[in-house]
Amino acid sequence: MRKKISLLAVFAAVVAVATPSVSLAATNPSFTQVINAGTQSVDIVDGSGVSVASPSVAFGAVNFDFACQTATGTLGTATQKIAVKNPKKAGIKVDLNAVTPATDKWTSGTDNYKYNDATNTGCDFGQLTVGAGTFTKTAGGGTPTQTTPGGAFSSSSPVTLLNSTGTTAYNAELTGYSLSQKVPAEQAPGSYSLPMNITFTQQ
Amino acid sequence: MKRWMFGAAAGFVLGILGMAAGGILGIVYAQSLSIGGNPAYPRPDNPRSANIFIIELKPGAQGKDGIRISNPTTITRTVNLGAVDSIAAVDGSFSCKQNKEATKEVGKWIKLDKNQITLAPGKEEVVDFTVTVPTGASPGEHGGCITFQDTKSYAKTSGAGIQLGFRGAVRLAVTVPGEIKKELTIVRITTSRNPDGSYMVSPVAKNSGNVSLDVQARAQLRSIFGQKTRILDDAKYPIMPGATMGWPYRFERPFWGGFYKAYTSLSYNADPSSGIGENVSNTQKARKESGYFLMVPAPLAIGIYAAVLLLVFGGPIYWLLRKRKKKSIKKKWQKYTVRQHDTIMSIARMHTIKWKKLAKINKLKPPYELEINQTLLVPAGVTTFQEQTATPAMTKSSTSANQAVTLGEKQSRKTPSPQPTRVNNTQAEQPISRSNLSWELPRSAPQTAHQQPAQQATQFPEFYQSHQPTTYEVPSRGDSWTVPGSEQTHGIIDDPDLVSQLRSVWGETEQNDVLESSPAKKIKPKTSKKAKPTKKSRAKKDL
Repeated sequence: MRKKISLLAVFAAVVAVATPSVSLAATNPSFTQVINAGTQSVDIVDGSGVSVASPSVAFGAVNFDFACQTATGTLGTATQKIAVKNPKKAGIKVDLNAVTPATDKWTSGTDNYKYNDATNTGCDFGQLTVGAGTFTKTAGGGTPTQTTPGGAFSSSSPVTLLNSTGTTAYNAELTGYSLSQKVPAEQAPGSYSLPMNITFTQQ
Repeated sequence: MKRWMFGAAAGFVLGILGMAAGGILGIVYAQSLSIGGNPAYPRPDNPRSANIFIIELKPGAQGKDGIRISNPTTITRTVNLGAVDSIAAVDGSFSCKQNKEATKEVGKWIKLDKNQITLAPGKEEVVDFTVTVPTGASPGEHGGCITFQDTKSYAKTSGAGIQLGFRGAVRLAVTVPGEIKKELTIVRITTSRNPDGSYMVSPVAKNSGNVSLDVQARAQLRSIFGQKTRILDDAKYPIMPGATMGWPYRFERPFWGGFYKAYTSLSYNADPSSGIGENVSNTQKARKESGYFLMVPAPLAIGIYAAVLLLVFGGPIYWLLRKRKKKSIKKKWQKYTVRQHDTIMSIARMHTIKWKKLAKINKLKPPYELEINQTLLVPAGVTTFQEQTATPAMTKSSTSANQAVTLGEKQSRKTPSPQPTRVNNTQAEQPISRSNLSWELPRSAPQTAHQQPAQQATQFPEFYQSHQPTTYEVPSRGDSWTVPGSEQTHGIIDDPDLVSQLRSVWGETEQNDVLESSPAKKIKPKTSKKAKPTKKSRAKKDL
């Protein structure tokens, strides 16, 4: 008899493990759990959602010219998407700016030109313009209120990539920001680079 | 007894653990991709303080707060922390300055207990900081940020193109009490059309106060007929003191389009005593409406509009134009009586108009048959040399005065051709004008043409010398000939002597093989020097 009862108890345990919700309803209806809101984050991920180690934006090559010309690239491609996680119902802001706005320039050795000078529509010294991007919600309910305006760099001001209000929690991808850089006339040939930061801010 | 009780208890515990495990595993946490940061000590009475730092300090006062840095990743992270001033982005929205930029305000007032921490996977740490407001700080809100950046998330300094780094920040608002001013005005409403046909309506507002405002914007479109779109409204966007910022609203293009006006309103807490996130006690609204602007209809609607407009206005306009044209013809055109050998082409040529127009106005249908004494309308006061001198119009000989005169193209060539005869006309003996002569060639030589006796052809010169044709041209050997407007083909010119004879009469060379695109398929006479008649030929022709 005892053996049978022991076997029955083990059987009950197995059933309980296999069907926890049924057991929960039958044994203890007052479980409490704490689900943290989590933190907001922004990263650049590839098509599989894996973080890209050293994200960058490549620009199309331009040839030396005696006239001002435009080099173009895209921020937020299929292989380098800006992934936004906003688990809190908080406003989030994503900006783009140079690491040292006052002094940073496109630099190749000793040659350089600016990314933030609007003189003569950017042609005199160089100006970077960011086109509006695309916001694609990948998770979460509701429709987040947001804008993806872009803009032209001027002085030390950052350009807004995303401005979202705190109406809903969501995961999203930002893609398709067209970048166009005015390259001044007679700019020396070289491989130029510019370090920039993407900043996500709770607001 | 104890053993089986132990077994039952163990099973129960296992079951509970299983439930717990199953329940927890069933929850998918929103895992952050990188380091996160939140205010460590939110105020229970202000939910907004869970997301941003809200600090109120008098000049010279000092306060403490803290930021909770968490590492939700699976590897140990080293995080750098910093305090920076705020800055307006190019669109006027709140932003944080870069860590390498010099601090002048809030960034300078903050002293972090630690500037770098190392976090194991899944761990978090609170870093406290002290805010010291300088004694000379002006009343109002001063903005800044606490930033955090994984040491592996810095932008590379080499390579081509833009090298990207990432950092996080939490807004920090330090309000210095005093004369707080809250004032918001809508400076303009901008409207623009998107490439996909939708429209953007953006109220642009300026915060003229000295504290930030959480603004809720609304927008609606109303048509000139009073139709209203649904109201689009937003959650609250912050607008910094002194900043100008717009809220773009996207409206779908109305199918029927039309003239619309945008109505916008911005509401904010105007109570100077209530800070960020505190209960709204005095909601103020700034309102502004745009002027009417055209929203382009959908392509299908444009098509429908065009069809309706065509029906409504096109019909009467067409009718009026037709009436005016008829009136004009009635007034400016005169009657002309068809004579023997007239064709629609010859009449048209005489009056220097296109034969198609002549046929249309006189409602002539193919094969454009004319009858002698038939009355046609022709332009008044426009006559050519032919009409003035060649009154004995060249018509095909007919035994009956009412025999039909048709154009060559439409005629049947199987009918036996009648002999060309002289028209009993007093002016028929007038000399032939060389410039009006041409041959008319059928499209192809009909079989009947070969059956024509050669001697008939020998009658041409006399025939054409004694009649005034419209425009005939010198024939070539092998051409068939016919009379314009006749249904008959008179034969193939295969007699070299006849051709020579004709050439000598008209002094022409064999260069007439240009077909005119006309119902008669006539050949225009060449105007080359070679084609000019000689004195000798003219003399013969005048005979």
